[in-house]
Amino acid sequence: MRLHHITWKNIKMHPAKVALLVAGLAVGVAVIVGLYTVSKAMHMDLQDKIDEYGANMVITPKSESLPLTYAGVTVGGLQYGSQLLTEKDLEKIRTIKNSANVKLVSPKLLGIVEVNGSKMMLAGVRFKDELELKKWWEIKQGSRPANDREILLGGKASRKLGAGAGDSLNISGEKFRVAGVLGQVGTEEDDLIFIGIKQAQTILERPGEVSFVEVSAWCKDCPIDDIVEQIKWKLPGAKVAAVRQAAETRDAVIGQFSLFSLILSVTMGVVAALIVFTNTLSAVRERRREIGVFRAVGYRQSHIALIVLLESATVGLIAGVSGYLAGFLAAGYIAPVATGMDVGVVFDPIVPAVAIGGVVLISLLASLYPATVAARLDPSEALNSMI
Amino acid sequence: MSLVIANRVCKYYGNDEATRVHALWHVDFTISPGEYIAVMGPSGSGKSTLLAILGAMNPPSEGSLLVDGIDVYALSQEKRADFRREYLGFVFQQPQLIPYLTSLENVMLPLVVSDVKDKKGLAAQMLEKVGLGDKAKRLPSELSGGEQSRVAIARAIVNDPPMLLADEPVGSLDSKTGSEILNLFQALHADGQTIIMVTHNPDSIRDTGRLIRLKDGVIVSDAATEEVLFAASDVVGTGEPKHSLAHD
Repeated sequence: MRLHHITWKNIKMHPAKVALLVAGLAVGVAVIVGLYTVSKAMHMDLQDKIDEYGANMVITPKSESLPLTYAGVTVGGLQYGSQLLTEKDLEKIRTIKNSANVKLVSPKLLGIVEVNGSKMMLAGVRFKDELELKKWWEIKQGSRPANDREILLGGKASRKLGAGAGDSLNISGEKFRVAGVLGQVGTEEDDLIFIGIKQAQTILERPGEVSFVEVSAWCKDCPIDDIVEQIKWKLPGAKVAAVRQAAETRDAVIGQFSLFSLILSVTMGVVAALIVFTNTLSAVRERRREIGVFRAVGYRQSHIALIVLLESATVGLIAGVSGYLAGFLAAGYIAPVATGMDVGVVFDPIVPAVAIGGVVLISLLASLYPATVAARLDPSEALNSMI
Repeated sequence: MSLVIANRVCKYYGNDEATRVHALWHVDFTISPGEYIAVMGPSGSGKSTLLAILGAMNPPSEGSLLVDGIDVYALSQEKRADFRREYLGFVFQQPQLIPYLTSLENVMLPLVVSDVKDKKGLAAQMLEKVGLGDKAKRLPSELSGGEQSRVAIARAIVNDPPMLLADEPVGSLDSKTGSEILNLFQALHADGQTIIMVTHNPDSIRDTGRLIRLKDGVIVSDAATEEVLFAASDVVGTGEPKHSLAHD
C-alpha cells in the first residue's frame, strides 16, 4: 500500500460526493471543450469555404490608366504602359518562399472571336485547374473536355449560339466540339466560350500570352499578405490582389465567437477552482480526526499535503477525461445546430491534453491552501478531537 | 538506562502569569524499558496533556522530554513525525480506524511512509498476533468494537515501537471485551513492550507495574501498582482495589 492507495480508497468510499464534484468540474470542461471544438470547426469550415470560393489572389498585368473626361462628360479611358503576362511568369509563382501554400495557378487568356457570325468572348483556360478552382461550376449538359479540340460553353453563350453538348463550332476557322454546357451562375462566365489556353493563344495569335492568373492558396493559417508580397516581388510587372473580403467578414464573426468562448472558458476555470477549493477545504475540516491519526502514526506534513493534492488531482483527472469526452461528443451534435453551419468536428490530440492537464492543474492549484491547512493541522488538536 | 526522562515538564495556557492555566506543573519522572505504567487521575488532572507531550504532539511550555536520549521537542515538526513513527505506538479511547481501509490496510498505515519492505506481511503478522488473522479484508464497519480495538493495537505495534501510549483503551468497551484487550496489553508487556496507559478505571491497572497519579497537573504519587493497591485495600481490609482510587 502506498499513499495513492489511501487517496483512491477514500475516493471510492465517497462515490456520491466525488461524483458531484467530478460532475461540476466535468460540465465546465465539457463546455470549454465544446466551445473550443465548435469554434475550431467553424474556422476550418471557413477555410474550406475560402478554398471553395476559388482563387484568393488575382494577378493582372500592371498598367496605368488615364480617365478621359471633360466638364463632367466621360469620353472613355485609356490604358497604357501595360506589361504582358506570359506563361513563363507562372513558373516564377512556384518559386516564392511560401510556394508550399500555393495550391493552384490558373492562367486565362481572353479575347474576342467570331463564332457563327456572332462576336463572342473566348477564355483560354487549363481545364484541369479551372474545374478544380471553380467548384461551383456545374456541367449541365455533356461532360468535361477530354482533349484540346473540345470546349465548354457558358449557359448564355450556349443559348446565343444555339449549340449544345456534342455540337461542333467553328471558331475563327477552326472546328471544335462542344463537350459540355455549364449551368448559369449569374456572372460574366455565362457568356464565355472556354477553350484550352494553347488553342486560344493560337486562335488569338498571342502565343505564350496570359491575360490574368487566378491563384488559390491553402489558407489554413497561410500568410496571404506575405504570399501577395512575394508574388509581387517575383513579378514586378504584375498587379497582385487578394480576394478575401467575404471571408474576412465571416472570420471576424468567428473571431467574436472565439473571444466569447475564451471569456466563458476563463470564467468556468475560475468557477471550477472555487468549487475545488471549497470542497477540498470542507473535506479537510471534516477529516481532522483522520488527519490526526495519520500525524499520530508518523506521517509528515508533506505526506498529508500529498494525500490531499493527490485526491484533487485524481478528481481533476476523472473530470477532465469525462468532461472532454462529453464536450467533444456534444460539439459534434451541437455545432451544426448552434452555428447554422454544416461543420464537422475533428479530433485534435492537443485539446484533450490541454483540457485534462488544465483541469488537473486548476484542481491542484485550488487545493494548495486546503492541503497546507491539512498539513499544518496540529497533531495534538487532532488528538484532542479524538478523545 | 532510562527510556524516557521527563524533566520539570510544565504545560500552561495563556501568556499572562496571573490568569495562566496550568495543565502540568513541574512533572519529573523516568521510564525504564519494559515498564507497564498506568497514569491515573480525575478529569482535568493533566493525564491527556501528559500523554500528548509523551506522544511528541504537544510541546511543553517548560522543561524537556528525552526519549532514548533524544530531546524530542528540539526536533523539527517533520523530524518529530519521524520520531513518532519510529518510537511510538498510539492506542486511543476510540479505535480511530480509517473507515475506508480494511483491517490489514489500517494496520499497514504507519508502514506506508516507512522503509519497511514486506509491509503487507508484517501487517498480517500483527493481525495474527491480536487474533484477527482471518479478518484482514474486513472494513472497520464490519468489525465489533473489541475487534476494532485489536486492529488499533496491531496498528500501534506494527512498527515495533519502543513505547506504546494508550489513552483509555478500554473506556468504550464492555467489561468482557475490555478484559480481553487488557490481556492483550499484558501479553505485549510480557514480550518486553513498554506501555504507558492513561486511565481512570481502576480495573484497567491490574497488570501494570507502576502507577503515576496526577491531580491538578501535579504528580501526587508514583509507586508500584501493587503497593498502591495493597495500601488501598488495606484501609478496609478487603484486599480489593477501591474505586475511589480514580477520583481522589
